[in-house]
Amino acid sequence: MARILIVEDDPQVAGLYRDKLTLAGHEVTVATGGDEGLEKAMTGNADIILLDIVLPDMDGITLLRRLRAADHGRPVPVILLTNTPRPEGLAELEGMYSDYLIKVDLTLDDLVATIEAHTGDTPSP
Amino acid sequence: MTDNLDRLKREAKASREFVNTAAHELQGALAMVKWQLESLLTEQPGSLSTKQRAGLGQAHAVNQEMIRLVKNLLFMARRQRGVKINKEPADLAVLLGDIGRRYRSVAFDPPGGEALPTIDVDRELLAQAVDNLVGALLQGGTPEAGVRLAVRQDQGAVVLAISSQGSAPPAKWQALRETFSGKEDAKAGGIDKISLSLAVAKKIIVLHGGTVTLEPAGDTGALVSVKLPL
Repeated sequence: MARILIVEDDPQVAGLYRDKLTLAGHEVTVATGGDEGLEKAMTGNADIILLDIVLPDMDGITLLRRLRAADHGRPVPVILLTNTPRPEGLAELEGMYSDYLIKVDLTLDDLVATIEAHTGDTPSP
Repeated sequence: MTDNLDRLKREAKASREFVNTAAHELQGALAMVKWQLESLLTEQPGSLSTKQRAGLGQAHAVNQEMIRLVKNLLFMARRQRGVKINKEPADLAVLLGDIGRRYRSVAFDPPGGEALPTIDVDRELLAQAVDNLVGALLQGGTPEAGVRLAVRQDQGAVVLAISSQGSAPPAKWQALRETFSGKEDAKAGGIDKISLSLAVAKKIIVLHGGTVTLEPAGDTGALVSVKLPL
């Protein structure tokens, strides 16, 4: 079982992720904005973070930079999950994120498999 | 003069931002539809009638077409100011396997023997190109004919094979072939979505230094070969 933080401003999309991942046996927390996402990432105990890039307040890239600047010994894997083509300057973030996924290219089963591959975790029965 | 130039730059920037925002919003909605359909099609076996399942399958196929169209329009918009490719090492067997899973009628044949070497490509753009080629073959043939994906190493290159046994009239394949072998800078105006898909696919493959060919396979089939230098 992995503890997953989802940072996604669209409640329907976040709800689908949550339902699928919960059904797969994982523990899910949702943040609907960048500020809330950073706070939960810093204070929570997530094993992995799914991070949207386009968010209403702090964007995902800024969140990622701030999170990495504040990491204390346990860098949490971050999967960037978006519908935006790779923004210019993403190369500067090399090493800060584990994967960059385009939502429309994924099935939800792919998403579960990717998360479990990154956390090395299998869901609880 | 300077004012006019500044105004044109502002208008071009606003146009790019509009296209990016529209594409982002459209893809978000299309992703939702896709996941809901996949959920219905895969998680409730036995609870749907044959007719309902067929209808959902058609809706899924149309949704996939719309995703492809939005991506292609976004590519054309990006192309106006020059498309940059972000190459990184990729396992093309994994890339083809991922694309195969998007469709109910596409099968991936994993390479036998030694593992393929990784190759530097822009994974998103190359996946878009392959997806466009798959879509063209699916639309060129009958739904039950399906499409097969394969990859192999061949003398300093990696070759992707995208094939369909068709059932489409040979004249239709010939029309596709003529579209594909036409001018690289096909005009966006006046061409159908298959032609747009093929033009975008070809452009992406050329950006990778590769080549692409379309040839008949059997009486009614087609084989697309994409050759990428290692």
